[in-house]
Amino acid sequence: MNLSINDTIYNLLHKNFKGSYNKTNICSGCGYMLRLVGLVDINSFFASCHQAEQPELEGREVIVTGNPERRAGIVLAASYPAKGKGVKTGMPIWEAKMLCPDAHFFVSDYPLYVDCSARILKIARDFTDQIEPFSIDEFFIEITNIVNLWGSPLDIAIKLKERIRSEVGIFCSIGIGPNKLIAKMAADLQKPNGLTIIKDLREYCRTFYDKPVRELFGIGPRYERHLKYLNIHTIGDLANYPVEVLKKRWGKNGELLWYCARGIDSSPVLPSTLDTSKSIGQQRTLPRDIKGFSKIKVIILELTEMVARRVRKGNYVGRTVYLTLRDTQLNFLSHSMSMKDYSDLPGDIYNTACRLLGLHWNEAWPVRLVGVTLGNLVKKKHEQFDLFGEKEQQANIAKACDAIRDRFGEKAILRGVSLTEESLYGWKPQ
Amino acid sequence: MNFISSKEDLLSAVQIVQRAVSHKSPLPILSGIKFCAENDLLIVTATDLEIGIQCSVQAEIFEVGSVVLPAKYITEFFRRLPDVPIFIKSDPLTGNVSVKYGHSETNINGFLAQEFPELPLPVSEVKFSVPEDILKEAIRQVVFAVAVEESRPVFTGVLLEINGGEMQMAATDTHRLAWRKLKFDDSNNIDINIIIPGKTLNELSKVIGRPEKEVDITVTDNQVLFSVEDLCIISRLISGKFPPYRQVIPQGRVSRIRLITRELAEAVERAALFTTAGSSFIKLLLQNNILVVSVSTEVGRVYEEIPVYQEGEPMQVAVNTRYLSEALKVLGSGEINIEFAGPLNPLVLKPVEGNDYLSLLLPVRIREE
Repeated sequence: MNLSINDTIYNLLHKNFKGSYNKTNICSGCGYMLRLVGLVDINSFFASCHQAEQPELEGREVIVTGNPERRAGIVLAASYPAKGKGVKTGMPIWEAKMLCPDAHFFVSDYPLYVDCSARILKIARDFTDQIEPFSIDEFFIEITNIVNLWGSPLDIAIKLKERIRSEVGIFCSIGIGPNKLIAKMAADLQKPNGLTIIKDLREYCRTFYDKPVRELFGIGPRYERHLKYLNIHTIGDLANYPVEVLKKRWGKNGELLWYCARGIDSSPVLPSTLDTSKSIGQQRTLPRDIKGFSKIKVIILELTEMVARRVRKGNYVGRTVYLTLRDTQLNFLSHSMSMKDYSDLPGDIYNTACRLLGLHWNEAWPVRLVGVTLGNLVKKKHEQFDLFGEKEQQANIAKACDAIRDRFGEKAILRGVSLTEESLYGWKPQ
Repeated sequence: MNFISSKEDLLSAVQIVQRAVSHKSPLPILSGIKFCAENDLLIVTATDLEIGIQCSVQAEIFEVGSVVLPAKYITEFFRRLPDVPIFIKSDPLTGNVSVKYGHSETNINGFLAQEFPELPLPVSEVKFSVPEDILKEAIRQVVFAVAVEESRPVFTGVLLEINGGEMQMAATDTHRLAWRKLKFDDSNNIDINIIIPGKTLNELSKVIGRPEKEVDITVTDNQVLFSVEDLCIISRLISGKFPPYRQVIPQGRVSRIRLITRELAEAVERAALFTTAGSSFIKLLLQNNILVVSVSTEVGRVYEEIPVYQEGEPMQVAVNTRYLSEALKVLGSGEINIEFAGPLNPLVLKPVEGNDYLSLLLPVRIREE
């Protein structure tokens, strides 16, 4: 039923479509080259990495958790057999142990994951340089230009899966579609170890228009709730909704959602998207709850030092400071404030974070998690001098600290507050 | 309180004092304007406890008294009144005010004036006068350099120094500095060194400027009072020590150029359009009697040559576009001298005539990729 309307759009985009794919991706109707994008998604990535390291665990229940000694004792990832028993991400360890007593538990090991991810990306780069990492366990691959080189899209996907399987020891799901959005949604259709090809918008409509709107990329529980009020339940409902209404309600985002629902997305696969950072942040779950501004400020200062160091290392300056605080009820508070000038110095960031703390937090509320982020980053191109040499002095101090840390390690030089009880460094697990 | 006045008088008084009204204050009374009728004068006052403005207008008073009316409504209301005699009468017990104009009447619920803080009129020996137009020009030339940020209060103010028959004003936000010297008729042997909030001077400069009139200035330990005929502005002073700004004015110079202010100002403004958030600077390259103004960002490139009269060595510096542009705007001189003391030392901007104004501008260091 919805198909007919979408056909109009389809025809707009692709006038003379008559045939289907032949061996290459040249449309038999009009002779234009069709775009093909793949998304490779590694299934339960953290758990898979441990399974790759210990192949005897393949097909077993593997659960990766945070460090319980640092009170981060929740499930971060679970293998499919464990998921089958009801283990979910975010569940406390004791609950997972009840559901799955025989599972193999691992504490998260980030260097291992980064290594696995890098090896997988290296394999993908053997096929094409048009690879865009999307997160640690997902990446887009532009297939359009390599079809004749490596065979049909299906051949390429199979080859890629096989190489990742045999060289890294990890299963992945691949979705292929005419753009990034459809590729991503196709990959989610079949998990684990899936391979789905949605070759055009017509097939997209057939596959997705009856699915709940929640399954559309970019729709979370909030959007779902709001859309329900508009009597939008399926992706097809959204695609056939008058776009003016959506635009009025959510502005640019509403229009974007409408395009997404119709499977229209023209964003390119950008290999360099991760080369520049948009923000740099640090956050910590505290070993125990703390109360009072003076104590929270100790943590903020230490996090600020780490953030500022990473900002300087990347040769950035940033302007917007985000402060994230979470209390024991797991209430989440995140606020931001922009500074007058771009900066990479801990003093400026700290002062702004402290103003945010005073504005949005109560002395009496206990804090469980603190995060400081510097956003609005740009590459540092110049330094403004000041008359009385104060900034320069601070910059020199930061430079000297950086040099010491580069040579002797991150903990070689610390702030005086790091000797206090609240310090992130001072606390040692019993 | 009961009086007759005209729309014009009421509106002009209210428009002047409402600049001091505090819209964010926790004290609701401060969001109002006080009207006080006494001795054939209507005195209108507003304050946010940092700055207070008082203005008096002629009115025919039938009954003395006072009341506070909400600033938000009263300004807009007076603006919309017809040009007829306005009768205003307040109820001393409730603060309700009735405004009659023509055959119409409007009632406004006001506050009782007792709650309104009394403006402390400073009493002091330190009194002097400055011609209005000269002071206005001096404020304009200096006040742009104050800091907006409130983390260091002394930088949000303007230093006013009087000693030895000279009055000097200086302001800085640490990246630039503006300094102005005024001749001062020192009959009282005055010696002061105070920091006046930039906001106060901005408000003052908006209401003064008449030629051949003078502003009377009274200074106490923590307050300053500016008064002209029917108007006075009282402000708190900023406590703290102004940084030793004389030390940072470069004494020597490597090169000096003379050029037409307008030519540079226009070039800088064109170039400023192409600067971006992350790189808000322009490059100045001086050689062979030519000053090259250039910018190169993702948006585009600007390259402009300005003929100058050059003394000394060639020079290349980069400066913040906005700082340079603002400094050029207030220079008040057709021709300008720019002195360079080195690529990382302050630039000194001076009018060609006279020796009583300069502004200073710190360059930026560019990171070559």
